[in-house]
Amino acid sequence: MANVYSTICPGCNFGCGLYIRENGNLDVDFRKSSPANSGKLCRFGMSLPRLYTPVRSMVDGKEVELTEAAKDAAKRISASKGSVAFLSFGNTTCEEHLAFGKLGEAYLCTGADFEALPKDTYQTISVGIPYSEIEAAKHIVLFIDPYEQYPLIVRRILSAKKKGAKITSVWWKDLPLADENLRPADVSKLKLSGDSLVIADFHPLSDMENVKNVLSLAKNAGARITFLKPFANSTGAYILSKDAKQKSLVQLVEDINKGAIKTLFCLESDPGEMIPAETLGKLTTLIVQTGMASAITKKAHVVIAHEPLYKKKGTLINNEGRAQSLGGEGTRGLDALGVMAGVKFEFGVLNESVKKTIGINSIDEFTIPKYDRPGYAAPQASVKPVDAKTALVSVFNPFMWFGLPDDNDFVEMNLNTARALKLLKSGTLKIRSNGSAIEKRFKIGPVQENVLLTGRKFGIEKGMLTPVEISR
Amino acid sequence: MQKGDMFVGWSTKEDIRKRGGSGGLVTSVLAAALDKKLVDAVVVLRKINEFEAVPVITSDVNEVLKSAGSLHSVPSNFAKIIANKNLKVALPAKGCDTRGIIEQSKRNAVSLDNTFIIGLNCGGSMHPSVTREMLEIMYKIKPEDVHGEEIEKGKLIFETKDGKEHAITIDELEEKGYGRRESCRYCMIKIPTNADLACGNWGVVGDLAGKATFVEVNSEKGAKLLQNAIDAGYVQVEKPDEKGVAARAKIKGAMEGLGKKWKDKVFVPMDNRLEYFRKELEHCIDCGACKTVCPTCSCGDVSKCTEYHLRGDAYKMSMYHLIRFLHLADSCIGCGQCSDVCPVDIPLTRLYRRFANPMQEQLKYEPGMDLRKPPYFEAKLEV
Amino acid sequence: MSAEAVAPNTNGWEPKIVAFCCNWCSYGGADSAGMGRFQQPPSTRIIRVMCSGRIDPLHVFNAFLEGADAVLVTGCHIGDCHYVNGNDKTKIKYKFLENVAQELGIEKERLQLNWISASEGERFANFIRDVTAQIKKLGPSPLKPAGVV
Repeated sequence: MANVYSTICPGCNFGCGLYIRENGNLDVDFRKSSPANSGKLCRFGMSLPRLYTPVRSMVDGKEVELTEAAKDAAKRISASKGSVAFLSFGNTTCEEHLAFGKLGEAYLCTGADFEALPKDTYQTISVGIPYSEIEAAKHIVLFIDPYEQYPLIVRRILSAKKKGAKITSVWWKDLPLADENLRPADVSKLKLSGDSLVIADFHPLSDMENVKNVLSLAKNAGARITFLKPFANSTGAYILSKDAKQKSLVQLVEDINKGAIKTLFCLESDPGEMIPAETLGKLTTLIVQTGMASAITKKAHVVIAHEPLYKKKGTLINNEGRAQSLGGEGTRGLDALGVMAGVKFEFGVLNESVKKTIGINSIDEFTIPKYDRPGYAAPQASVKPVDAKTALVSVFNPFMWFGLPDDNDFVEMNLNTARALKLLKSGTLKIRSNGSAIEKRFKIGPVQENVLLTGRKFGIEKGMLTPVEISR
Repeated sequence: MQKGDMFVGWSTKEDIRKRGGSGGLVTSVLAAALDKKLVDAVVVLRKINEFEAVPVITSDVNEVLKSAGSLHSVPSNFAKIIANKNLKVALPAKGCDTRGIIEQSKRNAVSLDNTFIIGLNCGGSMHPSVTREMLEIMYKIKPEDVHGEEIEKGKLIFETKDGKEHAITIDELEEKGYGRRESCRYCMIKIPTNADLACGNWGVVGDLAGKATFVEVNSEKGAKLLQNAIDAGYVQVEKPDEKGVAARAKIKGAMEGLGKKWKDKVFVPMDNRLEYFRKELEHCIDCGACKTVCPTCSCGDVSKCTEYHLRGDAYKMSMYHLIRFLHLADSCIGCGQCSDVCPVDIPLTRLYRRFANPMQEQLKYEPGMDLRKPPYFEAKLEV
Repeated sequence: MSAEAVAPNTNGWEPKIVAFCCNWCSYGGADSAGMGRFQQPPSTRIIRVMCSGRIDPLHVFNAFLEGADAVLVTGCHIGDCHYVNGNDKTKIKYKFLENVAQELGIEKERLQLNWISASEGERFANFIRDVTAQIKKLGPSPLKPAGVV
């Protein structure tokens, strides 16, 4: 009567298990035995039923069958040979990612800028350390806002704290769970040791100099380091493409801007969230293969609609390197990729190949496969200080809300900054940057003076730190 | 058969007896209700492994026959699953499930006339993640090797695949922070007298021990349900042993005594409470899971606690929690679901109970135990 | 002029008190307090509602969270409600509210209930004076947000 799927939350790479209950409408149900999250879900996980909106295959706005859409996409891809880019951030299963790797060999973009980093850091960035090690750490150093960015890590850190760990945060605001709060500008005061565990994050919009900086900080102190990642299968995608030439998001944007790329194929990835709209507008063809409707499926020339993630069959690898099976049966995504690549992708064969790559015989979510953790040489970093009086700090939010209403449409700021501007309680704040201006609600918090923090994109930001002018 | 009758019964089908616990009576009553069209659907646990099962609504008798039996480490609550579904349904329910269902019916989300509740005696359940950790640390066995579990004479016993039994007293486990969920420890509803039937192995003595279920009929609906199973040939019953009835009452008394002790231990009087609540709630990430899972809440998506709470507010305490504290002061049934699902491990049930305990005692109101209107909605205060 | 009302407050801090008044009785009481020239400190912000039964506990919570040092719930005497039994409902809500506030650790002086009829101007003024004195002793509310005075 009711269909219940045991699945993994596609919000970030944390690997939270849950059930999706199909009963007229969708409901989430808590999978309390799930090893990554004990059934607990964050704000995004709780709103999955709103996210999984059905999508239909389309060619130029006309509804068609999946195979037909895939055939049409194949035609368009071969027609613009040499100027096609294939984008998959890693929001899909390992099996699909392997098939995708074969299809998109010519220009494969995972968004991650591995080229800017030394080769020997690849594995360290790709596979994080087990959460149980975070709980057992003696000193945890955070280069993230766990509450906003990776909420399920909070309880692991709190558990470590209960066991006596010291928590240091290097962030623009004081975090309730930290014992010591440093500002990013004071990172030189940070004392690391062999007992320290550094938690940072790595995503397509990461500032590579910052990534190099934390890598070398950890390396020089002999501390362990783990990178949290934003896409459901980031870890899997990086492990499986380690021998492929991966293009970064910056490169892709540049290539589209200069006209080298005219056709973009996106697999379960929403470029609308990451690539400026004017860049996307330069494409002649946009092909989107996805399991759910979003703003980008409305813009795409071809939509190849397979089943949503919870109905798929396949493997996801979470941030710890834990391989987890999805509870669905669908392989239509593979079928569509096969049509485009001109081969038939067998799920079984790909699944074997995934298992072989990570060196396991069967997918068991309770056992983390053994991964090499090779050392690396401390990379040279040149972090540029921001020389602006006031900066808007756009915290990378791994949760792609796909236009869903989210309750974070405000900036957080310091009380003194607000007082200096004579802001009114429950009023708004005018923020100007490069000629564009917005007006936002503000929230008073323990934030660094002259910094505006936000987890949302307002459209005026240039990278993570945007110099802005503010007034009442 | 009428309200107040007690029986000892078992399934007539051998394979159900073998797989289900205690003679498979509950499974058979559910199957019979479905088979004879007494209900359109039943709720059962679909077993995934020893520590995991998922509740499903089904009309398939085979699914019922395959269902999981009793699992101590599946702390789910069925009330929200059947809410607003308009189904004629039969379901097994622990004390807290039953209380949840009755509270939902007061809020017009469940029709009790169409809901047959088979109550299960319950001494407490365990969180699956905690259970896995407990097996590795306290029992020194691999969770994968576990074959079965039972609670006997205050001991939690795990049977491994090699046939060995591993027993540790529950007191010792709970001393170390394992064992039952905290809310189960101070729960006072051990035999669900608020359900249509109350079933369990307490009171099954002599030759039948472990092979039959003790049933108490609590309502006419319960009598109908059990009679249906007998008439359909699914279940056999006989009068219980006098000794059994006494033994059942004794276990109940002992469990309640233990519950009372835990209650006093957990809810010690406190100074500086505002600081305590602020400290506990400071990690809240506004996921709303505690409300979604709450079996007494039936407001849906648009509710006071969410609509009057904005993430942009820099209040010292969130409106969301204040409103929930107030709303649950008379309605909290202490099922522990909110603590289970909190992503930042706030002991929410404990917080809610801090408000609910004095209020419910003062108003002599036990939510979910009868059909009395929640005092907050009375026109005049009775007590 | 009473001595209390003019006594300068020692620490220079004036509490902010939110008083919910019902349209038919206690608001009238506040009015006649003014007409009768009964002295009262300027600490009170009156919010008029049609009936005290309209006062939802969340209004009271919100007043505290926005920075009120005390919140007063006032209405017609029991039996005198303009809407038959609105204040009976107030009584129920207030019982819950009081309980939550007490468990939460908010001092009981900060949340008070009083029935005041339209003719009891003096009673209203005295009530406000008493509460103000009590709150001055207690100091600012612990729920007052940062930056709000």
